[in-house]
Amino acid sequence: MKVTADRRALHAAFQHVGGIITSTIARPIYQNVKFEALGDSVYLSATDLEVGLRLKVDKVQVEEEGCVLLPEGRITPLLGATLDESVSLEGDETAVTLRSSDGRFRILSEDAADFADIPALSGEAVLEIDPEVLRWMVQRTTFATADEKGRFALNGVLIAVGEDGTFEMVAADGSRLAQAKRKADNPAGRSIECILMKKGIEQAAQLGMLSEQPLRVEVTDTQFLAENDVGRTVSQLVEGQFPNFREVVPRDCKTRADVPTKPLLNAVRRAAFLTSEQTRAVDFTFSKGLLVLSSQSPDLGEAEVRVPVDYEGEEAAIAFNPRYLEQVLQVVERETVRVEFNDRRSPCLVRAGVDYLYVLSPVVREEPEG
Amino acid sequence: MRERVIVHVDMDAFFAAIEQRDHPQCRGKPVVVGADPKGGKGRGVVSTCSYEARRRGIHSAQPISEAYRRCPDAIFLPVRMEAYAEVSREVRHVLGEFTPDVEPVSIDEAFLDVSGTLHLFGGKRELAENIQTRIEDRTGLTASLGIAPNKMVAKIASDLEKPRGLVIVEPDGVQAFLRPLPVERLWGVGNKTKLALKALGIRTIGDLAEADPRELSRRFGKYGASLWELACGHDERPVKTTGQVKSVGNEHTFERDTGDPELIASTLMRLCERVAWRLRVGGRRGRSVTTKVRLEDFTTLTRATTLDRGLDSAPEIYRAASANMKRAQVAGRKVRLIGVSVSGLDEGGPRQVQLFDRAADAHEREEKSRLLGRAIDRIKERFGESALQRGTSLKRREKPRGRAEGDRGGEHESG
Repeated sequence: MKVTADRRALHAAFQHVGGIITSTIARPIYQNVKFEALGDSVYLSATDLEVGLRLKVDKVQVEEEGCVLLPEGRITPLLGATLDESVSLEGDETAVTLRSSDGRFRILSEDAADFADIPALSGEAVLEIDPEVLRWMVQRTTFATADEKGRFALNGVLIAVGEDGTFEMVAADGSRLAQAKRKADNPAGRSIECILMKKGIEQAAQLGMLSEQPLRVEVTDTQFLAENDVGRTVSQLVEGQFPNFREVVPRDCKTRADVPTKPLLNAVRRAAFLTSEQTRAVDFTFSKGLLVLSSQSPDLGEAEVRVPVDYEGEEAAIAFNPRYLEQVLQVVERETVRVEFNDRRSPCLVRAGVDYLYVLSPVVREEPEG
Repeated sequence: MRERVIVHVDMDAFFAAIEQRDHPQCRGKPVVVGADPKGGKGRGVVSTCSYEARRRGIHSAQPISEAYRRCPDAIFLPVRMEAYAEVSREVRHVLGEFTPDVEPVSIDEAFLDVSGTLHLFGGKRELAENIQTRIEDRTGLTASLGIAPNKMVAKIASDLEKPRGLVIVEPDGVQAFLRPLPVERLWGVGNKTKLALKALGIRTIGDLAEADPRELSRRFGKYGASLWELACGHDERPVKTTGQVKSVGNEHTFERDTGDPELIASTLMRLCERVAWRLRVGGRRGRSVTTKVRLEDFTTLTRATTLDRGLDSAPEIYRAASANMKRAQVAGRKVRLIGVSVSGLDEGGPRQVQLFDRAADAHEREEKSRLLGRAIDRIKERFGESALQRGTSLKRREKPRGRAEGDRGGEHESG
């Protein structure tokens, strides 16, 4: 194997695929990146056995084909600290020598034969997704997945494509739910419903952004595959059932108000300063033309912020964990959001246009046990 | 530095004494509070029994069928947890008259730090007698007291002359007080440690204090060093007042060291149930779950998880505790003790409503398990702690005998 590469492009590619690697993985072989020199291209692959990525590297010349494993934790910082415009790599499965103008680094390698492949699309039932649409949807949903491990479907993102190309993405934890809805090209007219780990769909969206081309997507019984001219990614599907999210979306709400997004975000952030870990709640009180946010903490003090709103109904109040509202307001690009709820114990709906909704369950104060 | 004066107050046969107080026909008779004996066929255990019953060979944590066999004419009564909790509050109120630094350890015992207030009540004996009289006036019940320079010695002292005992250990008398006592009087020494120490020729606390601490560390790890400290009468743990209670936890020491994953899992579940119950009784929820595992060689591992919301239901706590357990990677090794504690407590303040409560196909049924937990608590209050258990915790259970660590059986409470 012998390759000359643009140092910056190679470093960027190692950094990108390195993002897949988890240091806690049981099998040390997957601390490596697979480096393939094939035809006149170089491909880097990495996987944590749940999500895998294979990326083509720009600006390389292959003098001799070959395939080796390189330790990501060593080579990425080494390439980052090298000053030259270009570097060369030469070697076999036992060791690779990286040369710059002033240095020589002989890096012990491992046999690539045992490294899991990042599979290509089979070519059946392919969907084409506009990468910008995918990025838009991922940005608006994945933040709502459950962080703690072991919640199965709630650790993942639901992806559903209808025969007509309706493309939905839903993420939820126990307290809130985000749903984005757009269109995808679905020439085969098949419907898909699967749950992916957050990391998997985020990798697909990132890969999509590296190219102008649409991202081609295929879902098998166990895997989600995505591909473009730059590379391909695979993600194992999460088994299990996604909770029936349609059931928790509130309907026919008594209280409905249009609230300006940016001023609301600013108000939530400021009111949250006087909440503590233990009393993570901000009260939202709607009255004619006015929304008042208030918070109090026995250790810190009290806060009150007023936001003018388009509201004509009776006075109504509800309380939320401010973090959950802040996260959604950060990703919404519309100037106003529609806030709807029935009472202080039931979920609240936040809408931004027809293609995005967020359901947020409130915080209630304990009442005497009956 | 000012001398520390710590009082340990332990109510005498608390549940049984309340029953005898409330039912005059029970006075002077063997009274057993716990599960229903069902004519000797009942399951479950003795919660507390009167001194008359103890003289007939009945004790706490004994199977109720065994108690019935030994003394069929005893008066068997169900646990009335609400009534006992009410009396416990009265006792705590009385204790608060003597110092603001009161740490309730459980429903029937508490530590008091009276270092700053002792002079208001005369000497230690006057203070102790004053406390005993006030408790009796207020509740009609008796308590045993131990007074010492630290918690460990005070707790040992209160137990020596029950009922209505009073043992005062002066700072310069600690060594002489501890020396002749058997090692199992020390906190955390059960049957197994006792045997291991015996193999080294150590029987009394005095023997242990004279042993080489380096040798103990080699054999028992860090635990060996802390054992030696205790044997020498050193215990710097402060008295923590109610507001400072930072965690609620339970531990279990296995009868025999075990590598059986099912036994470990079902014991973990039982501990989680116990912790969840204590959290709910105290109206608290906690955001951090810590799992502790002590291996056969006394290596102790702890793993913790912090969540974005407070927990008080057993399945939720179990989920975090068992994930911690996995991270500790003890598979294939023998386990001596496991423990679960929940910290980051709130006082039942604002509660995050869960989204999928009502969805029939949801994975998350936290609200349901909370409600179920509440229902279980009511049943436990009426019929005793062992009246209802989860399937997982019944699956494998060690026979309750021997190797008692802490106060009752193999389980120990903290917080």
